[in-house]
Amino acid sequence: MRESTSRVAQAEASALRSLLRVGRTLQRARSRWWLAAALLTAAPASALACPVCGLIGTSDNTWAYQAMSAMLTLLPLAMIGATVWWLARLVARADTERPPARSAGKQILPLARRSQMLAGPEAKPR
Amino acid sequence: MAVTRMQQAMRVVRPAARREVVPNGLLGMVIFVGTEVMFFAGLISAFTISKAGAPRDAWNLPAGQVLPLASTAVNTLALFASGALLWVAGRQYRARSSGATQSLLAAIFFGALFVMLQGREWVGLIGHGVTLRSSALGAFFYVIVGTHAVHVLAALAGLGVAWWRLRAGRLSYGFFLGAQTFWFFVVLIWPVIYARVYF
Repeated sequence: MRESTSRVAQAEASALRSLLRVGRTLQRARSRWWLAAALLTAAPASALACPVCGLIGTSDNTWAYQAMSAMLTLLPLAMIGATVWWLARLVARADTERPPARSAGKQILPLARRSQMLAGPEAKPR
Repeated sequence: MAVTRMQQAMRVVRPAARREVVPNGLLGMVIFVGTEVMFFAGLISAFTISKAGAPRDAWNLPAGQVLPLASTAVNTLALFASGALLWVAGRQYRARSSGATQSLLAAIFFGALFVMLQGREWVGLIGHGVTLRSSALGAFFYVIVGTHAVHVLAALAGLGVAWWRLRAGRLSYGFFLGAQTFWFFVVLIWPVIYARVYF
Protein backbone atom coordinates (compact mmCIF):
# COMPACT_ATOMS: atom_id res chain seq x y z
CA MET A 1 0.00 0.00 0.00
CA ARG A 2 2.78 2.36 1.01
CA GLU A 3 4.79 1.30 -2.06
CA SER A 4 1.95 2.03 -4.42
CA THR A 5 1.40 5.41 -2.75
CA SER A 6 5.03 6.32 -3.16
CA ARG A 7 4.90 5.23 -6.81
CA VAL A 8 1.94 7.48 -7.43
CA ALA A 9 3.75 10.30 -5.70
CA GLN A 10 6.82 9.70 -7.83
CA ALA A 11 4.76 9.66 -11.00
CA GLU A 12 3.04 12.90 -9.99
CA ALA A 13 6.38 14.47 -9.17
CA SER A 14 7.87 13.48 -12.52
CA ALA A 15 4.76 14.79 -14.32
CA LEU A 16 5.09 18.08 -12.47
CA ARG A 17 8.78 18.25 -13.31
CA SER A 18 8.10 17.65 -16.99
CA LEU A 19 5.34 20.31 -16.91
CA LEU A 20 7.77 22.74 -15.35
CA ARG A 21 10.25 21.90 -18.08
CA VAL A 22 7.60 22.62 -20.75
CA GLY A 23 6.76 25.88 -18.98
CA ARG A 24 10.40 26.91 -18.98
CA THR A 25 10.70 26.05 -22.69
CA LEU A 26 7.62 28.09 -23.44
CA GLN A 27 8.97 30.94 -21.36
CA ARG A 28 12.24 30.76 -23.24
CA ALA A 29 10.38 30.73 -26.59
CA ARG A 30 8.29 33.71 -25.52
CA SER A 31 11.32 35.70 -24.48
CA ARG A 32 12.94 34.87 -27.83
CA TRP A 33 9.82 36.13 -29.59
CA TRP A 34 9.94 39.40 -27.66
CA LEU A 35 13.62 39.75 -28.47
CA ALA A 36 12.91 39.25 -32.19
CA ALA A 37 10.06 41.79 -32.07
CA ALA A 38 12.30 44.32 -30.33
CA LEU A 39 15.01 43.80 -32.94
CA LEU A 40 12.47 44.26 -35.75
CA THR A 41 11.29 47.56 -34.31
CA ALA A 42 14.92 48.65 -34.06
CA ALA A 43 15.36 47.93 -37.78
CA PRO A 44 12.18 49.20 -39.48
CA ALA A 45 13.72 49.39 -42.95
CA SER A 46 13.73 45.63 -43.28
CA ALA A 47 9.99 45.51 -42.50
CA LEU A 48 9.02 48.31 -44.89
CA ALA A 49 5.76 47.63 -46.68
CA CYS A 50 5.02 51.03 -48.26
CA PRO A 51 6.21 51.16 -51.88
CA VAL A 52 6.50 54.94 -51.90
CA CYS A 53 8.12 55.38 -48.48
CA GLY A 54 11.34 53.78 -49.71
CA LEU A 55 11.97 56.90 -51.78
CA ILE A 56 11.96 59.24 -48.79
CA GLY A 57 15.07 61.36 -48.88
CA THR A 58 16.01 60.12 -52.32
CA SER A 59 13.69 62.43 -54.22
CA ASP A 60 11.55 65.46 -53.60
CA ASN A 61 8.59 63.58 -52.15
CA THR A 62 9.21 64.77 -48.60
CA TRP A 63 7.71 68.14 -49.45
CA ALA A 64 4.80 66.33 -51.11
CA TYR A 65 4.05 64.42 -47.91
CA GLN A 66 4.25 67.57 -45.83
CA ALA A 67 2.21 69.71 -48.23
CA MET A 68 -0.50 67.09 -48.69
CA SER A 69 -0.69 66.42 -44.95
CA ALA A 70 -1.13 70.14 -44.37
CA MET A 71 -3.74 70.37 -47.13
CA LEU A 72 -5.77 67.40 -45.87
CA THR A 73 -5.62 68.74 -42.32
CA LEU A 74 -6.42 72.38 -42.99
CA LEU A 75 -8.94 72.01 -45.83
CA PRO A 76 -11.79 70.50 -43.74
CA LEU A 77 -11.15 72.97 -40.93
CA ALA A 78 -11.24 75.86 -43.39
CA MET A 79 -14.46 74.58 -44.96
CA ILE A 80 -16.18 74.11 -41.60
CA GLY A 81 -15.03 77.57 -40.50
CA ALA A 82 -16.24 79.14 -43.74
CA THR A 83 -19.65 77.43 -43.47
CA VAL A 84 -20.10 78.56 -39.86
CA TRP A 85 -19.08 82.14 -40.76
CA TRP A 86 -21.45 82.15 -43.74
CA LEU A 87 -24.38 80.86 -41.65
CA ALA A 88 -23.65 83.36 -38.85
CA ARG A 89 -23.60 86.17 -41.41
CA LEU A 90 -26.92 85.03 -42.87
CA VAL A 91 -28.51 84.87 -39.40
CA ALA A 92 -27.15 88.32 -38.52
CA ARG A 93 -28.47 89.72 -41.78
CA ALA A 94 -31.88 88.13 -41.22
CA ASP A 95 -31.98 89.68 -37.72
CA THR A 96 -31.17 93.11 -39.13
CA GLU A 97 -33.60 92.91 -42.00
CA ARG A 98 -36.48 91.50 -39.94
CA PRO A 99 -36.42 92.77 -36.34
CA PRO A 100 -38.26 90.34 -34.05
CA ALA A 101 -41.98 91.09 -33.87
CA ARG A 102 -43.46 92.09 -30.52
CA SER A 103 -46.33 89.62 -30.53
CA ALA A 104 -45.67 87.30 -27.60
CA GLY A 105 -45.46 83.57 -28.23
CA LYS A 106 -44.57 83.84 -31.91
CA GLN A 107 -40.83 84.29 -32.06
CA ILE A 108 -37.51 83.66 -30.35
CA LEU A 109 -36.31 86.56 -28.25
CA PRO A 110 -32.72 87.64 -28.60
CA LEU A 111 -30.43 86.04 -26.01
CA ALA A 112 -29.66 89.34 -24.26
CA ARG A 113 -33.34 90.09 -23.83
CA ARG A 114 -34.02 86.62 -22.43
CA SER A 115 -31.20 86.93 -19.90
CA GLN A 116 -32.53 90.32 -18.87
CA MET A 117 -35.99 88.87 -18.42
CA LEU A 118 -34.61 86.04 -16.28
CA ALA A 119 -32.53 88.43 -14.16
CA GLY A 120 -35.41 90.81 -13.53
CA PRO A 121 -35.87 94.53 -14.14
CA GLU A 122 -33.61 95.51 -11.21
CA ALA A 123 -30.57 93.82 -12.82
CA LYS A 124 -28.16 96.18 -14.48
CA PRO A 125 -27.39 95.50 -18.12
CA ARG A 126 -23.83 94.26 -18.60
CA MET B 1 -40.41 85.19 -8.06
CA ALA B 2 -37.51 83.77 -10.04
CA VAL B 3 -39.64 80.79 -11.02
CA THR B 4 -42.35 83.11 -12.28
CA ARG B 5 -39.87 85.00 -14.38
CA MET B 6 -38.49 81.74 -15.71
CA GLN B 7 -41.98 80.55 -16.61
CA GLN B 8 -42.69 83.88 -18.25
CA ALA B 9 -39.50 83.66 -20.31
CA MET B 10 -40.19 80.04 -21.28
CA ARG B 11 -43.74 80.87 -22.28
CA VAL B 12 -42.47 83.53 -24.63
CA VAL B 13 -39.75 81.30 -26.05
CA ARG B 14 -41.42 77.89 -26.45
CA PRO B 15 -43.69 78.22 -29.50
CA ALA B 16 -40.95 79.91 -31.50
CA ALA B 17 -41.67 80.45 -35.15
CA ARG B 18 -38.87 79.02 -37.29
CA ARG B 19 -37.17 81.34 -39.68
CA GLU B 20 -35.38 79.94 -42.71
CA VAL B 21 -32.17 81.87 -43.16
CA VAL B 22 -30.90 79.47 -45.81
CA PRO B 23 -32.93 77.02 -47.94
CA ASN B 24 -32.56 73.40 -46.78
CA GLY B 25 -31.61 72.29 -50.28
CA LEU B 26 -28.75 74.75 -50.40
CA LEU B 27 -27.44 73.86 -46.94
CA GLY B 28 -27.56 70.14 -47.77
CA MET B 29 -25.74 70.75 -51.03
CA VAL B 30 -23.06 72.85 -49.30
CA ILE B 31 -22.37 69.99 -46.86
CA PHE B 32 -22.32 67.48 -49.73
CA VAL B 33 -19.94 69.66 -51.72
CA GLY B 34 -17.67 69.77 -48.65
CA THR B 35 -17.41 65.99 -48.68
CA GLU B 36 -16.78 66.03 -52.43
CA VAL B 37 -13.98 68.55 -51.99
CA MET B 38 -12.33 66.17 -49.51
CA PHE B 39 -12.79 63.29 -51.95
CA PHE B 40 -10.98 65.16 -54.71
CA ALA B 41 -8.38 66.40 -52.23
CA GLY B 42 -7.64 62.74 -51.39
CA LEU B 43 -7.25 61.84 -55.07
CA ILE B 44 -5.01 64.83 -55.77
CA SER B 45 -2.98 64.09 -52.66
CA ALA B 46 -2.39 60.48 -53.77
CA PHE B 47 -1.44 61.71 -57.24
CA THR B 48 0.99 64.33 -55.91
CA ILE B 49 2.76 61.94 -53.54
CA SER B 50 3.02 59.19 -56.15
CA LYS B 51 4.34 61.61 -58.74
CA ALA B 52 6.90 63.08 -56.35
CA GLY B 53 8.07 59.61 -55.33
CA ALA B 54 8.31 58.13 -58.80
CA PRO B 55 11.59 58.14 -60.75
CA ARG B 56 11.62 60.91 -63.39
CA ASP B 57 11.63 58.62 -66.40
CA ALA B 58 8.91 56.36 -65.00
CA TRP B 59 6.20 59.02 -64.82
CA ASN B 60 5.20 58.94 -68.49
CA LEU B 61 2.48 57.74 -70.77
CA PRO B 62 3.29 54.77 -73.01
CA ALA B 63 4.81 55.22 -76.49
CA GLY B 64 5.85 58.82 -75.82
CA GLN B 65 2.27 60.04 -75.63
CA VAL B 66 1.51 63.31 -73.83
CA LEU B 67 -1.71 64.57 -72.31
CA PRO B 68 -3.57 66.96 -74.66
CA LEU B 69 -2.91 70.31 -72.98
CA ALA B 70 -4.19 72.66 -75.70
CA SER B 71 -7.46 70.94 -76.52
CA THR B 72 -8.20 70.57 -72.80
CA ALA B 73 -7.67 74.31 -72.43
CA VAL B 74 -10.47 74.81 -74.97
CA ASN B 75 -12.66 72.40 -73.00
CA THR B 76 -11.88 74.39 -69.87
CA LEU B 77 -13.08 77.57 -71.58
CA ALA B 78 -16.35 75.83 -72.45
CA LEU B 79 -16.78 74.84 -68.81
CA PHE B 80 -16.05 78.38 -67.61
CA ALA B 81 -18.54 79.76 -70.13
CA SER B 82 -21.11 77.37 -68.74
CA GLY B 83 -20.43 78.56 -65.18
CA ALA B 84 -20.72 82.21 -66.22
CA LEU B 85 -23.99 81.53 -68.03
CA LEU B 86 -25.39 79.79 -64.97
CA TRP B 87 -24.43 82.78 -62.83
CA VAL B 88 -26.32 85.04 -65.28
CA ALA B 89 -29.27 82.63 -65.18
CA GLY B 90 -29.29 82.90 -61.39
CA ARG B 91 -29.47 86.67 -61.53
CA GLN B 92 -32.24 86.53 -64.11
CA TYR B 93 -34.14 83.97 -62.05
CA ARG B 94 -33.98 86.18 -58.97
CA ALA B 95 -35.14 89.15 -61.07
CA ARG B 96 -37.96 86.94 -62.43
CA SER B 97 -36.75 87.59 -65.94
CA SER B 98 -37.90 85.30 -68.75
CA GLY B 99 -34.32 85.07 -70.05
CA ALA B 100 -33.37 82.71 -67.23
CA THR B 101 -34.64 79.70 -69.19
CA GLN B 102 -32.44 80.48 -72.19
CA SER B 103 -29.38 81.21 -70.05
CA LEU B 104 -29.84 77.97 -68.14
CA LEU B 105 -30.20 76.03 -71.37
CA ALA B 106 -27.05 77.64 -72.75
CA ALA B 107 -25.19 76.71 -69.55
CA ILE B 108 -26.31 73.10 -69.98
CA PHE B 109 -25.21 73.17 -73.62
CA PHE B 110 -21.67 74.35 -72.77
CA GLY B 111 -21.44 71.83 -69.93
CA ALA B 112 -22.45 69.03 -72.29
CA LEU B 113 -19.93 70.34 -74.83
CA PHE B 114 -17.21 70.03 -72.20
CA VAL B 115 -18.10 66.40 -71.52
CA MET B 116 -18.26 65.57 -75.22
CA LEU B 117 -14.87 67.13 -75.96
CA GLN B 118 -13.37 65.29 -72.99
CA GLY B 119 -14.86 62.06 -74.32
CA ARG B 120 -13.28 62.71 -77.71
CA GLU B 121 -9.90 63.18 -76.04
CA TRP B 122 -10.32 59.94 -74.16
CA VAL B 123 -11.11 58.07 -77.36
CA GLY B 124 -7.92 59.45 -78.91
CA LEU B 125 -5.81 58.50 -75.89
CA ILE B 126 -7.23 54.99 -75.68
CA GLY B 127 -6.56 54.61 -79.40
CA HIS B 128 -2.89 55.41 -78.72
CA GLY B 129 -2.68 52.72 -76.04
CA VAL B 130 -3.10 54.94 -72.99
CA THR B 131 -5.28 52.89 -70.68
CA LEU B 132 -5.91 52.50 -66.98
CA ARG B 133 -3.26 49.76 -66.83
CA SER B 134 -0.68 51.21 -69.22
CA SER B 135 1.12 53.31 -66.59
CA ALA B 136 0.68 54.92 -63.19
CA LEU B 137 0.08 58.32 -64.83
CA GLY B 138 -2.55 56.79 -67.11
CA ALA B 139 -4.30 55.19 -64.14
CA PHE B 140 -4.37 58.43 -62.16
CA PHE B 141 -5.46 60.40 -65.23
CA TYR B 142 -8.46 58.19 -65.94
CA VAL B 143 -9.49 57.92 -62.29
CA ILE B 144 -9.30 61.63 -61.45
CA VAL B 145 -10.57 63.06 -64.74
CA GLY B 146 -13.15 60.29 -65.05
CA THR B 147 -14.47 60.96 -61.55
CA HIS B 148 -14.79 64.63 -62.43
CA ALA B 149 -16.63 63.74 -65.63
CA VAL B 150 -19.10 61.62 -63.62
CA HIS B 151 -19.70 64.61 -61.35
CA VAL B 152 -20.24 66.85 -64.38
CA LEU B 153 -22.83 64.41 -65.73
CA ALA B 154 -24.65 64.34 -62.38
CA ALA B 155 -24.58 68.13 -62.18
CA LEU B 156 -25.88 68.36 -65.75
CA ALA B 157 -28.77 66.08 -64.80
CA GLY B 158 -29.56 68.43 -61.89
CA LEU B 159 -29.43 71.46 -64.18
CA GLY B 160 -31.65 69.66 -66.68
CA VAL B 161 -34.28 69.04 -64.00
CA ALA B 162 -33.98 72.69 -62.91
CA TRP B 163 -34.49 73.85 -66.51
CA TRP B 164 -37.51 71.59 -66.95
CA ARG B 165 -39.10 72.85 -63.75
CA LEU B 166 -38.29 76.46 -64.61
CA ARG B 167 -40.00 76.06 -67.95
CA ALA B 168 -43.05 74.57 -66.24
CA GLY B 169 -43.01 77.35 -63.62
CA ARG B 170 -42.46 74.85 -60.78
CA LEU B 171 -38.82 75.55 -59.89
CA SER B 172 -38.21 76.22 -56.21
CA TYR B 173 -35.47 78.61 -55.19
CA GLY B 174 -33.85 75.98 -52.95
CA PHE B 175 -33.56 73.45 -55.79
CA PHE B 176 -32.14 76.04 -58.15
CA LEU B 177 -29.54 77.12 -55.59
CA GLY B 178 -28.59 73.50 -54.90
CA ALA B 179 -28.11 72.70 -58.60
CA GLN B 180 -26.22 75.95 -59.10
CA THR B 181 -23.89 75.25 -56.14
CA PHE B 182 -23.05 71.78 -57.43
CA TRP B 183 -22.34 73.10 -60.91
CA PHE B 184 -20.10 75.85 -59.52
CA PHE B 185 -18.26 73.15 -57.59
CA VAL B 186 -17.55 71.07 -60.71
CA VAL B 187 -16.51 74.21 -62.60
CA LEU B 188 -14.16 75.46 -59.88
CA ILE B 189 -12.54 72.10 -59.07
CA TRP B 190 -11.64 71.57 -62.73
CA PRO B 191 -8.77 74.15 -62.96
CA VAL B 192 -7.17 72.50 -59.91
CA ILE B 193 -7.36 69.08 -61.59
CA TYR B 194 -6.17 70.49 -64.91
CA ALA B 195 -3.19 72.26 -63.36
CA ARG B 196 -2.21 69.28 -61.21
CA VAL B 197 -2.72 66.34 -63.59
CA TYR B 198 -1.99 67.78 -67.04
CA PHE B 199 1.19 69.73 -66.21
